Amino acid sequence: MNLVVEEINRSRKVLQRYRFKAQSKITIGRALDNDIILSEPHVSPYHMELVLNDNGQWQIHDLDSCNGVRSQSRKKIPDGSIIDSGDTLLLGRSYISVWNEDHPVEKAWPLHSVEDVFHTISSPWILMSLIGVFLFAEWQFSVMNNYRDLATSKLINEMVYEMLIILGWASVWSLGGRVLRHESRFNSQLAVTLCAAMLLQWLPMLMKILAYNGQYGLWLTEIRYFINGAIFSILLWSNFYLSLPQKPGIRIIWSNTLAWGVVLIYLLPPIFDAQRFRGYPLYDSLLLPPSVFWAEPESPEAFHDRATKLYDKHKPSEKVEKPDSAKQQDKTSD
Amino acid sequence: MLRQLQRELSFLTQRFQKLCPLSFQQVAQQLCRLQLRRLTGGLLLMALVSSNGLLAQSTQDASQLFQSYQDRLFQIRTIDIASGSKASIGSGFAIDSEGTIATNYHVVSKYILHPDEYYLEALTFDKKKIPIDVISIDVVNDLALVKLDSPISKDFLSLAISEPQKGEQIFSLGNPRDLGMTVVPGTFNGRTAHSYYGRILFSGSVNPGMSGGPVINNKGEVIGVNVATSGNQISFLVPLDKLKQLLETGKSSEESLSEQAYDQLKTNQNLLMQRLFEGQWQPMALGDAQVIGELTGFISCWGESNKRREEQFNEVYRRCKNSEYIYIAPDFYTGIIEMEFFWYESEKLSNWQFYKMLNDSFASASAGNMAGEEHVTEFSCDDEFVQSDNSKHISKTIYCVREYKQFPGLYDVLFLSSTVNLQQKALVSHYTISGIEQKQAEQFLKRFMEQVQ
Repeated sequence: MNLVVEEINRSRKVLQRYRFKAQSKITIGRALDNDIILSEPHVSPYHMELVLNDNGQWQIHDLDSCNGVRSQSRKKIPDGSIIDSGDTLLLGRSYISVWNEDHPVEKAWPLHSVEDVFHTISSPWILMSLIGVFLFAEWQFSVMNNYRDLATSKLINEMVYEMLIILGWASVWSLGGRVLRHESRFNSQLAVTLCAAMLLQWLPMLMKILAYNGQYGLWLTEIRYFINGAIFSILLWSNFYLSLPQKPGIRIIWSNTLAWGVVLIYLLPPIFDAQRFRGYPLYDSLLLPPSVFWAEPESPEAFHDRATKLYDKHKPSEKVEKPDSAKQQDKTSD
Repeated sequence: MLRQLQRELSFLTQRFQKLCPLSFQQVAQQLCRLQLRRLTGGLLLMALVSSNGLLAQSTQDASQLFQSYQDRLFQIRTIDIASGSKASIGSGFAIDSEGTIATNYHVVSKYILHPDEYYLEALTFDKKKIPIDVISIDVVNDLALVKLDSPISKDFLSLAISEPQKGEQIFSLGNPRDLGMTVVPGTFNGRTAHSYYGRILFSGSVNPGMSGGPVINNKGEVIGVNVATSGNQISFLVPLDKLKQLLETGKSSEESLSEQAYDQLKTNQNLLMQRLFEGQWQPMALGDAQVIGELTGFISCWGESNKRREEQFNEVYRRCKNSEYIYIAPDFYTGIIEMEFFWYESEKLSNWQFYKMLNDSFASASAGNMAGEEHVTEFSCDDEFVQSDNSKHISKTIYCVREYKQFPGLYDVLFLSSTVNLQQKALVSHYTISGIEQKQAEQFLKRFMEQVQ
């Protein structure tokens, strides 16, 4: 049986691969006349050999090594044991895996359709224009939201700060990709982060305009959290895709769990706050310019009917009974 | 009130400060918005210096009165059961020979609201303590009748037949800041302007602790009861006729105290709103819009406009408010009617900036009266875009309602509206009314929306 022996590191990354055809003995050690030369100092010069026996199986033969031959879990393997395809041996501090030539391998993972998109948006020209659009939009939004004098220095400060965050986020993921997959893909990471930042700029404004005309402005906070969660989960998914070797299913689960988990952390305190008594009125106070207003108004009479319904809200639950003594009404006092 | 507009107005705004019973808790004092004054020297001395120049004569009158009537004056104390010490004090005076004492409602309100935590006692001039019980109250005029458990003397202060002349010298009696019985001479100045409930303006230095004390003419007859001060020798008295009214109806009332209060609040708001609807409601221009000018006599209006260069927009502002309120508890006031109009205009701001500015001021409306969780429900609100048939202006209009827990059928209502389809111009209108019934609130809403264009 032809054998393939891999020298691997602790995280199972293949450092070197050796193929052996029609050989019935393979010597392993630090000396330079071995079939497999390991350079780690805890390996003996003539550490062990793999011997093909009469049954066609490979056996271990320890050549009186100093630190012995162990399994992956550091248990000593008795001399003469049979090894199976896929076993890992520990020699000193070096790990080797032994495989039969015909050991089945996994089917290829299909490339995601998103791969083309990523490739397109990572071109330097597109990146530059994305940065330009982002900064321009940031400037315009700041001007729109500021009706007192806009300090230019403050605006520039904010833009620099935001660019640093975007670059930082992309860099961290690129670094991760470099370590785990030996490819940083910085341009793609940057492009993806920029797209997420722009969505974060535009989507809330769009939702505000829709909420204004649809009159569900009181839900804006929840909608905002939902949008943030969605954008963040897509961003994380892309980051994972570009940098981490993950199965597609695992990727989706992780990116969503992290993104929505963070959103939940922000959502929880306000839910507890809502239990406290509110002495001030809570109403939808959103106002936007006429250019984005298209809702149909109603007549004053219809509004009067609405107002009447507000009184009814308090009626059904409490029976209207006159308080009959000063003492009774104080039960609820502090 | 829109919080953002608590700036200093350059003209005098009347601030009524209840002569809150002196309390050892700073919090209660702040709630009653007292201005703490340093008392220099004896109060009598101060009173003498501030009187109208007849120094020798006032000294004589004042000390005479003091001696004659000190046995008919009492310090009304609210004792906290748990600590066994006085939590607040006020003054009171005997009005009949059976031990009935007249005082202010707010002097005994703590006991009325929490009878399991406090009890009331009266302290006589010779330091005897007698427990008392509350017979009847008038929350609108801040009066109360209490009765001594065991009457000690048959002497009482008689009520005058008619009010004094304007400028006549009168004397306020009471126990300011627990310093001892004092006499404060001052001048009778008739009714305060813009007063709906009717209060007498007294130019004398009435101080906290004197609430509920009598104000007598030089014949020793009661012509009013101390109730509030605005500092600087401007004090307010409950007039004689309100006291007489309470004596007639209240002495033998079968109703419980809260039922009395309920009826008084309902009747009062009924009459008040009726007066309001009978008023002219003069239209007035504010910027390009037409708003309501003077509503009626007892609501006073102020205005301001900013023409300062540093803001990029112009703001013209008008505010109308009735100058009195009804005290029910230290953290619960009602009977406040307030109306505000803002006209905004800008040439320098873009539409987006203008509406952002509008947004910020639109978001901060709140109730005009103070109320806590045990008194009111939370506000329920609704909003809609409204356009009346004869106008091309569309406004975002908001209406909020909350109900009184102990007085069902009485509500606090809040109205807020802003035009939304004008370019770089806007009118924001707002009103709050506290302690109103549904029928009157709906009527007011209709009329308000019709008149404001």
